[in-house]
Amino acid sequence: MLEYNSDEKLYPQRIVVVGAGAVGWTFAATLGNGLNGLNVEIVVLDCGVNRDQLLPCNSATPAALTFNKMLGVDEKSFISQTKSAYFLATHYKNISGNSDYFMPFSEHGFMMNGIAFSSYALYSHAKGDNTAYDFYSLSALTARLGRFRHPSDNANSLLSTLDYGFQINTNNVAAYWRAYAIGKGVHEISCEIKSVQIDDISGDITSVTIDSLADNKQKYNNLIAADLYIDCTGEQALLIGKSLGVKYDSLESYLPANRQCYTTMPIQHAGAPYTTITPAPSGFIKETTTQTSKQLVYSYHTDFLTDNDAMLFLQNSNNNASAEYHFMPFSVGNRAEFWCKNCIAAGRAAGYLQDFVIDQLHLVQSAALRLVTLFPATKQYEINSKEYNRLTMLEYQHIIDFHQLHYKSIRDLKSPYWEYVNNTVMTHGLAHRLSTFSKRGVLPFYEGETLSPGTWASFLLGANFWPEAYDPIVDAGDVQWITEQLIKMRKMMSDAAQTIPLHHDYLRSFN
Amino acid sequence: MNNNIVNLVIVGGGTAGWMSAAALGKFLGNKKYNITLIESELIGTVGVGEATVPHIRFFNETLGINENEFMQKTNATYKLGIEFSNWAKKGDAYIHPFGIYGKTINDVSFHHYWLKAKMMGNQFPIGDYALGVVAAAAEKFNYPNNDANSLSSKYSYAFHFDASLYAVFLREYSEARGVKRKEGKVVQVQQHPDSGFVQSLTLESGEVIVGDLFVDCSGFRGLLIEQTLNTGYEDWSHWLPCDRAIAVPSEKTSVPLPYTKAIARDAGWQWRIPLQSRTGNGQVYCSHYTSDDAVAENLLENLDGKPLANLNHIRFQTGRRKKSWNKNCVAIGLSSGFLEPLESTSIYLIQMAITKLIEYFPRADFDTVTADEFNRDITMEYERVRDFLILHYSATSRDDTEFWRYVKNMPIPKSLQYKIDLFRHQGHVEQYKRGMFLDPSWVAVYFGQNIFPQHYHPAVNKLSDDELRHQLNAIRQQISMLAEKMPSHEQAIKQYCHQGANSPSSWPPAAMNLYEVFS
Ligand SMILES: Cc1cc2nc3c(=O)[nH]c(=O)nc-3n(C[C@H](O)[C@H](O)[C@H](O)COP(=O)(O)OP(=O)(O)OC[C@H]3O[C@@H](n4cnc5c(N)ncnc54)[C@H](O)[C@@H]3O)c2cc1C
Repeated sequence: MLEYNSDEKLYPQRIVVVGAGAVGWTFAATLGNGLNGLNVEIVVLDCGVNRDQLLPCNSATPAALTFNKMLGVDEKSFISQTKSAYFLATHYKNISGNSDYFMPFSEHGFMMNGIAFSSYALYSHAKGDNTAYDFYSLSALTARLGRFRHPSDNANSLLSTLDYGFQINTNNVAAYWRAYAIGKGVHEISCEIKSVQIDDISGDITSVTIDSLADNKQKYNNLIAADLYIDCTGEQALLIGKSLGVKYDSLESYLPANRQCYTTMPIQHAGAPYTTITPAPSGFIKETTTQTSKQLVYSYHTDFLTDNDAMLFLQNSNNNASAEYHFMPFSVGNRAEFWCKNCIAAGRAAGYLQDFVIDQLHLVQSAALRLVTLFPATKQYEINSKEYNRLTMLEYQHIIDFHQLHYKSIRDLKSPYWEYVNNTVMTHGLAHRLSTFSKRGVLPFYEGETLSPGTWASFLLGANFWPEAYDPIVDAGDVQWITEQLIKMRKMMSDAAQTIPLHHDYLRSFN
Repeated sequence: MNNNIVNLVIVGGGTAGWMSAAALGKFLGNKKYNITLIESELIGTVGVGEATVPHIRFFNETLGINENEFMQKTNATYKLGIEFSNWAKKGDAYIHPFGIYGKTINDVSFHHYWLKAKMMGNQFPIGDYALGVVAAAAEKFNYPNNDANSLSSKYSYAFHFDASLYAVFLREYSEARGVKRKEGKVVQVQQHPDSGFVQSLTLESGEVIVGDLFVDCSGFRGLLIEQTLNTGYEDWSHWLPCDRAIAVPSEKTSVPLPYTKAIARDAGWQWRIPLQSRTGNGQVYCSHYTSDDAVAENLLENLDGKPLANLNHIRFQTGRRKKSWNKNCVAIGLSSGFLEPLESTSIYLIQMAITKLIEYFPRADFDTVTADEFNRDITMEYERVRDFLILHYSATSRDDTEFWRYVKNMPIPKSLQYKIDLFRHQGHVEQYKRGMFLDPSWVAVYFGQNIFPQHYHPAVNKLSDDELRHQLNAIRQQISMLAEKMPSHEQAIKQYCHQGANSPSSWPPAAMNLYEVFS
């Protein structure tokens, strides 16, 4: 039967986060908050180069709002301290003949007579109406106009349908969460990692040997032991990979890219409230703008493009002569287990699925919150880690599907690279979704999906994947009435978008 | 590109048939579609489905039905949950409410706090922290309140009703929307010689009814889906071994309770469903462990009032049709599978199938991709309900009869074992979005049937022991006060339902959610 002893602390008492980049600090901040008051000691090892390498700018989905709320962070302070900008939509240029499309995070249109809006849009398209699907989204229209405001609290207002994330400066965000974590009692040790010790019998990590830098010398000895280790050392995966030997499964056959060329430029005032993704001869270019910087990244595959050509291409699409270009190699894939023994991998140590819409920081937030939810009550981790791994794998699979869809949507570019991409196999999940959608716009339901079916539909229709047929139930309605409703809806949305302030004005007044 | 289907034929006029007719009539109208429903008085309906879950309110709302008028016409009472007695062991009882327990504190579910308090010696059952439970036990009812911060917004409700009156009510509704009803027995089915698609039905009178889409609501026999198309059945009776039921209505002896009773018996269980004017009763049992006569005798002995009809004997096999949608035939209701009425899920499953049929409404080419997706959705619904029902049996410590020894020791689906292991370890409920029973329901049955985790979530310790006691006390007292203030169930029926058809809509909105109406 149950016994209770309030002094007995069976749960992990000490957690060591290895790697002090944006990934490590986001994770540490989440644990610092989630475990605050439980006497769990959290230590972050800032081991210089052994940290996750992220691009200088990143974009965060609306999940970041929930995340900030859970951590009790006020958005105003977050925005002004990190110099982040808003993120209302992803702007796709030249995807399958659609020169210019905005994919919002919120749903398009409104349900009418109990029938989903997308059914009406498909119907209208089949009848010859060429209105782009993003004309039925206030978020998309607002983004297109370079405007932004917060959604209205009034659920009946059209303005309540706005949904947004952030475009962030990675280093500022790392510093923000570092300050937050330290405020929650998280310790930081600057050091070099010398070795990792593994228990012969259990296979657990028993300690990490460090060479601490001068200022910590008295406080910590050189052997850091913990109950749980969070590996945030990026692709080198010092703990989960090198020490525990958990293998990394490549996803390059689905997401054919292995290198990035990027440049970051300072800007005077906040740019677009959207990121822009454009296909290029051997990959994709993504543009992100925060309040202070603009970043261009060309992700490509070295079998098809040299670094120099990548740089030249970026230079041509960017008329800033003084820009500096950097290169970053990567390998897309995922760890076979994300939580193995007493070690949990986050960031690139866990996997890299590229960052079209869902990026690394999103995955780190989600991983850290998942660990808090499944935080072990004892030092027996098997059941917790099994569930953690199951959920993480589900999450990854759907994101892989969605990111692969970007590749599979490029049907009109002629280059050896795109020819190669055309012949790659699809994931089972993507193939299934495309088969149900192409018939008549049905999107299957999957558990553990990050993006809503509405987002999938938005992307697909933006990329001109119009289904063969529309939902025949729409035919039961009155043609004229439907047409009128659609016109009314569009007008309402474009009128509303006009009333919204410009993004940079709004940010200035908000800061 | 007009390859729309035109003629819809629904076979069967039970709950499934008329719910389908009403919804299809509403969504398709009668300008472009002909909807015909065939039923046979000779064959009759099962018609014992009397207890529902809150989702039915959403069905009614979508149809634009006046809730008060619906209650009047179907002799309905309100339902806040189900009381299970003698399940874990003889003498035990708990209510599984349509509502949540307590409130989430520091992002940790309430049941973890309750668990720690219990370890500290707190004697109050978890039901004392759910308004749905306390109100039900006190025989009270009121609509939930639209204040997200108040505990009085944390429950929902459904109905007990007379299913045959609901069918009559929906028949009127359907006929007003152009659905044509044909009385007669289908004696022959014509199929396309190559494709095997159903083409037409011949009635006993000789009349031939042609259709493009056939909705099979013919009950257990599965006239089209099985007898014609041989779709096959997945048998689940090794997990849910009950295979018979005897039903009988009885005279009302007291005011109606706002909850269903499910009382475990030697080789099955007995239901008690209070309507406004009578009580529905019945026993579900496993013929392998008892006899019809023994059950009949036991049932009659345990009636509160005089029986109002002859005993209705029903046979069934728990399981699921391998495909609910096969060729141009969609099975809805008992023809698509049977899960015993322990958690009143059948009407919900009918509703889900109708919703999905409308969402995936076919064209004349009947693409299999969309049909497969329909089947995948329905399978998921059935399997999740199945696991939840099995838990009621496997989580028992009863070993007083052969039946209970069997269910106690039977191997259970892996998917269920995984959930139980997760919960036993530290109270974690497997998270999913699809499926009707989410965390609060699993917690209700786990705790109600004495599955207690070894540990609670460590973050519970953010509250000191004193704070924990204090918060739990406050919640319990507030709930008891809120319940106290509610009118009695009987008064509520008088006040709301008897306003009738002309009443303004005083009832709260509906949601596809078991636990809350405002979301
Ligand atoms: C013991 C028991 C208790 C239950 N309790 C509940 C409950 O509390 N809550 C709940 O939600 N569900 C409950 N159910 C389930 C519920 O009764 C059914 O889901 C519901 O009645 C739907 O049945 P149906 O319409 O599919 O089939 P039926 O009621 O069997 O109707 C079949 C119809 O098909 C017609 N038909 C059949 N063959 C032919 C033919 N050849 N020609 C013409 N017409 C034909 C019949 O005339 C009839 O109209 C219970 C079921 C049982 C067995």
